[in-house]
Amino acid sequence: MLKAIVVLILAVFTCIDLPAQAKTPVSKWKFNSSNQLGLLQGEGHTAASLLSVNGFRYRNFFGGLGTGIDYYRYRSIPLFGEYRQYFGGSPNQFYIYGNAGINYVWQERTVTLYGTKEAFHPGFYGGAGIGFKAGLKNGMGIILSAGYAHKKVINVQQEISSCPFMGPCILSPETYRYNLNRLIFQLGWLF
Amino acid sequence: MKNISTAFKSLCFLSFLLAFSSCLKDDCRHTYKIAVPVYSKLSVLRASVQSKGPQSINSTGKLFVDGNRIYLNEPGKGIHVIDNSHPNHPVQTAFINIPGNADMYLRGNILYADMYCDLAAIDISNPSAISVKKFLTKIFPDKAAYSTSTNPDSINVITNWITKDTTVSCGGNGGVYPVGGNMMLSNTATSLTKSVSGAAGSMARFAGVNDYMYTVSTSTLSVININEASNPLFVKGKNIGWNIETIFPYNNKLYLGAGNSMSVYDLQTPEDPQQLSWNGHWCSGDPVVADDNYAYVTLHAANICNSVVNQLEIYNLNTSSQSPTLLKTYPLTNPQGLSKDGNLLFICDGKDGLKIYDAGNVAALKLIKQFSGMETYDVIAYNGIAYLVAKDGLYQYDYSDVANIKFLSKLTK
Repeated sequence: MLKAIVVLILAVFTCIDLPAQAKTPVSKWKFNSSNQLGLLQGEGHTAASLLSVNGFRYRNFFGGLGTGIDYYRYRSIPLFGEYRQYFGGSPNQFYIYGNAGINYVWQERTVTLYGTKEAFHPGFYGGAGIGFKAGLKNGMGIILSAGYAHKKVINVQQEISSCPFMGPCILSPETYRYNLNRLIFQLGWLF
Repeated sequence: MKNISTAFKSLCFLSFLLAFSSCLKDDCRHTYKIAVPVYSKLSVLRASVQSKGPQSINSTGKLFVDGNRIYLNEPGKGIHVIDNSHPNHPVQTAFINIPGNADMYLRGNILYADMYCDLAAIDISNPSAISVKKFLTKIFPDKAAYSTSTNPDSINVITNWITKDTTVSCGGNGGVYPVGGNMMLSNTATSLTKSVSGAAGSMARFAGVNDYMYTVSTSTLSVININEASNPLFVKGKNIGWNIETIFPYNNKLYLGAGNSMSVYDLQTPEDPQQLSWNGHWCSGDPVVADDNYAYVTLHAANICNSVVNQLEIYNLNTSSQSPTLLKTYPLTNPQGLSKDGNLLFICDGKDGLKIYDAGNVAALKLIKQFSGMETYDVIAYNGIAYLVAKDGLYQYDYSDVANIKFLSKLTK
């Protein structure tokens, strides 16, 4: 699966026919919104994501805040800040990006019949990669990116281990810390 | 030229991806508490059963009332002996050190107490100078590490646990998982049963009827002959189900409360109790008491089943099928132990305190008095005095005048 994705991206990049350089300087702050559908490829697991990053661009620098849904193993809502560095002055530009923030698992706190309670705690979310913007009219564009994405999930389970004569039952807590490392390939719309 | 530049960049990016592909491993770390048992030799524990001077009450357990004397268990430690000649001014007179103790029964001057896996018969003619008459070995086998030996020098008993956090990879082996229910002392309720010489609470696991004492573990009913009080003899143990919590003797029958049921055993053959009936209910803790016509069962939440049921259930015992039928339920806050004397029903309703009902008409109980301000666990109503075990100590109330039930005294930690 991974090889197929890489080959596809390689083919796309190779076949891109960049038009003549047309200088479109962005000399003032401009709002940008990029909304991307993603494919997450990890260790033996593939999932989708939907992310939206909104912020402001000045010249070739972009900074914004992002959120979305990440379905890799545990459905979660990331909240992050992202920085992008564009290269060149044409409407078609390569860029590199990096983001970091917090990841919230979207799951109900559960209690089983025999007293096991489960809860998720927020963890780190972040990543970096490279992308390409194919410019269209009025500053809009199609963006394609690939990179590395990491999210941390903390799952605390409490199981009743025994019940004494008086007072509440004794809970035995167990914590699972997942570090989930994925490649992320995204295709989206920028305006 | 442009395509060459683009291809070059793509090759660089391909290298970038391949380099990162080795980072795709998901990692999981599992942190949990491990419990390492601390063992003591049974012989060493037996040697520590002795009298001490009055000790401060650090935690409250089960209760037994005998005339002017009150025996209050401190879970895992022993029994406080209290002179109650003046109920408005009880005085602690001695402490009987019994490691691992949770339950007790009194017959004459012989106190029967569990000590981990043992049953001890203790002469308490003089509580300040007790004398151990006999130990019955492994009456409660779930409290001892597995061993086929009956030699107390060879039997190891888990007396404590050392707990610590450990972190391992999720998929690997490692660590010692916490022991489940055996890790702590078993939940010995205090039950109130009218015996020859005194009264116990509704949450007890010991009960005496004539020349026999009956004890329950989580799954076993043990029969012990106490005809010769200082020389108890183990008769038999029989498997009676699971999650057994309490035992209450009445009218030559045993009423057993379990996590999911109430069952009745007949004592026509006292050495071999026979089950008469079984009534299932929501998984919850359930002490039970009975009178000539009804059985009263409280169900409380916050137990191993994580039940949310908190109520009183009243069963009709006078049925043609000999199987009690549920007559009525009353919702409560978090009921624990209960007791009945005449038409008065005393219920410990957790943090709601002690509630006293007129149970003359079981279909329409009337709350006639409530004492709040303490977290209540069990009560003994005996000869006009209600002995209440709460989280913070022992309370006494005079109910000899039903129209004027009043507070007598409090013995606190």
